[in-house]
Amino acid sequence: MSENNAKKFIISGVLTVLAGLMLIGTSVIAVDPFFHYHAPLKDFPYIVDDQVDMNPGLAAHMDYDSVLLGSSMTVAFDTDRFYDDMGLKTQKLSYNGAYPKDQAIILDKIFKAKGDNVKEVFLGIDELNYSGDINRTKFTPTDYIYDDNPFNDVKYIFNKTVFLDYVIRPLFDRTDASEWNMIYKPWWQPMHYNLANVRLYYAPAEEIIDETPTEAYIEGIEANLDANIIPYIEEHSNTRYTIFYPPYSILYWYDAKRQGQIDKIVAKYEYMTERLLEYDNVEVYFFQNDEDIICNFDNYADYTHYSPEVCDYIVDCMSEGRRKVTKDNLQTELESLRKLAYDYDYDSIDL
Amino acid sequence: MLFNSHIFIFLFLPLTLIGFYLIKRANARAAKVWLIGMSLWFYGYFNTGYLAIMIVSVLFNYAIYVLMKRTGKPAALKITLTVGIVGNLALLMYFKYTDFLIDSCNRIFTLNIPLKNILLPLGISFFTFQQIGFLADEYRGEVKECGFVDYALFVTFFPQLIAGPIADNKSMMPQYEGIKKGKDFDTEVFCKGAMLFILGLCKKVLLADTFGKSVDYAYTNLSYGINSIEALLAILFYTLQLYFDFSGYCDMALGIGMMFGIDIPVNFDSPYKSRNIGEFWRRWHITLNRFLTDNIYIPLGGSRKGEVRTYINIFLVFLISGIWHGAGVTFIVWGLMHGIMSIITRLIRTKIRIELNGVISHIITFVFVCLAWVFFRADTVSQALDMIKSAFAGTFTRPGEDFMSGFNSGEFWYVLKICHLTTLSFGRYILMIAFTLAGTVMVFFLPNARQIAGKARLNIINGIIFGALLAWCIISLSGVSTFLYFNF
Repeated sequence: MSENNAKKFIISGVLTVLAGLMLIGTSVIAVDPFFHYHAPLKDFPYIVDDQVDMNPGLAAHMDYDSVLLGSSMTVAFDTDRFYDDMGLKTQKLSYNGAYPKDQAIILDKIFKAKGDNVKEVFLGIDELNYSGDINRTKFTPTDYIYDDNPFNDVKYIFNKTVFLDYVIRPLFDRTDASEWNMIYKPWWQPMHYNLANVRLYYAPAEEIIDETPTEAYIEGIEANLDANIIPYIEEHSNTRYTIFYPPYSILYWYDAKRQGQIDKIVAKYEYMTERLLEYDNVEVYFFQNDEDIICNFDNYADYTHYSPEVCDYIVDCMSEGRRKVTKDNLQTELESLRKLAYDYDYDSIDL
Repeated sequence: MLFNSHIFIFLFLPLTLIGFYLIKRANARAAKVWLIGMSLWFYGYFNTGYLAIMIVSVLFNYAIYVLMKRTGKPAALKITLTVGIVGNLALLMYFKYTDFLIDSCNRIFTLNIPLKNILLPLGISFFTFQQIGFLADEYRGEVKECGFVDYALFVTFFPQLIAGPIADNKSMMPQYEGIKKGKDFDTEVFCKGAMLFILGLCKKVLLADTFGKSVDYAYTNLSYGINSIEALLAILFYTLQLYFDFSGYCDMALGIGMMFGIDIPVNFDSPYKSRNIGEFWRRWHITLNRFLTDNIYIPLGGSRKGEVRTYINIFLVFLISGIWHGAGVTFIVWGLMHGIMSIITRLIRTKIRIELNGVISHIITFVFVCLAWVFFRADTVSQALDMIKSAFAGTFTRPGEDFMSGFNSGEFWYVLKICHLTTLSFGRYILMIAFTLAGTVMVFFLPNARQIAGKARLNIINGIIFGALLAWCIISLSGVSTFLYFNF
């Protein structure tokens, strides 16, 4: 009798576990909210808000012929604009605070999935993040998303957070669904782009002179470019690389001035640009000295993040070849930036 | 490997169980060797370097045991035991306390000796003490003939390897020796073991980790200022977290042991129901308390050498307990607090002869234990004092959203949302209050997991309930957390 009851307990218990896990696992695989196995379902209201876990799946399964890479400086771009201007189906694969290693990791995924079918890589480079450790990543890559081990996918398939937040929640509240052309977009609304909002987040940097020699920064950039960017430019020479330096507001240069960094940053841009322009498949766009943009706080929500309108402007420029920097005009542009950063009347800003 | 991991639940445990029972049909010794092999994989999964340390420790201790067995003379026996104990303590001292001692010397004598940054092998305190206990038992003549396979299984058996309980020779060795060739499989005991494992997993995954998020928030943000309600709740939550975490682990260990037909010693018996600190230590981490009593308190004379010596012995036992728990001043302070409280309790009982009302003594004991845990959790003594100061600063404002975020996510939050309760003015507090009440009622009034598993009937309904609980835990495993007691 007792033996029978025990068997009933075991059988009912095992069946319950299997039924529960099957239900959840099947739902996760069918919807696949991180796009780990397949492209998104046509009518499912996906919430695309987790760059670390979703970018590899997007790179592997979305239909695109160009990509937009970079930090949070790239999240406000409307990827439809690339199609309208250049006819390119562009996939946004931003990582907030991205380091060069983050770009290398996602470039591997992109080229693994698309091979030589990637026509163009748009890459926003933040000089600040390009002189550190070449293996540094902003976030630890999630093992079951980034590795090729199918067994640890159980952490994805049987995952309460994935099931509740990305399979169930969108079904109950479709208003949270992401627009595919604006994934990862910042929460700021048009009313937030003004000086009042910038002031909320900004305090001038302490006036402590940066003692790090310029050569140390340059060495760091050289190592990062050699390890994480240049190999892809060389290996995929049929792909065009359109690189741009995101236009931070003039307050960025105020801080740089207060810390004695203007010449160092200009030297970094000089080195990076010269290295990148050695390759025929690379174009570089320079917005740092674009006064109409960087001196107008109606373009900014904080001291570096610019509005969707500025993003559109950048795409337009890249499409038309405006603000392109070449070996011939590089020094002129850098000198113009240096002059602006040193001479701007920072006291006129109502901080 | 963690009990609360997918690899353990989906692969390691089923494989080990199936292998053990199949091999045992043909050869009992081979089944034991299988268990040892799997236990080494379990341990080495964390870090293969640790494995070498543990294997060396097992070989060293078994060699000491063999030498003691062969030695007839009491003096030689004593010397061999001393060598064994010194060897074990040296290993423990090196890996656990070297950096602490260097750091202390640097601070006291304003030196600048570089730290060695030694990684602590998991569970080293547990398997070292377990083996010292075994050698002490051999010295007292309490160990029968013990083959190497049985000894290796005694030390390495994976359920109790890295966070206890500290198994003792008397209760475990006969069981390992008693593993016989054959098909014997007690289905009922197996099911009870599975129940206990699932209940332990629930305590860890669903309760301890939820309370832990608020605790982590409070300690991380203490220097920026937290209000008194948050501090008081953080102190209570850590008390609950630690119990659900450590006793949950031990429940799982006991449950797994039962699945293999092995009774692992009980380590927790509803400790927060205690009415004095002595009772607390008979209910909390029972096997450590028994080890310290058998191997330190009694050899020092226990209560046989007069009152003053008794108090000194109690004090020393708790001092050693504090040091055992961690290389840090906070652990020593925690141990001393318990030592002093034990002495005070004993003085009140024997000298003043006051019998406090049960409820009052219960409350005093619980409050004391809560406050002592603050030192156990804090990184520094000053951080612990800051937490206590914050708790009594009188800033009784509502807990912040970030403090409660661990409660306000996941399945229960969705239930509240669907019921439109989250829009109520007190909606954000519902789950924290519910968890707090549930946790408190569980530790004070309800039977513990062992008692529940013991009484639960084996039928279809319970099969469905426990199956659902297991599935719930499995889908909650992502963002896998470690057990608090691994580093002790």
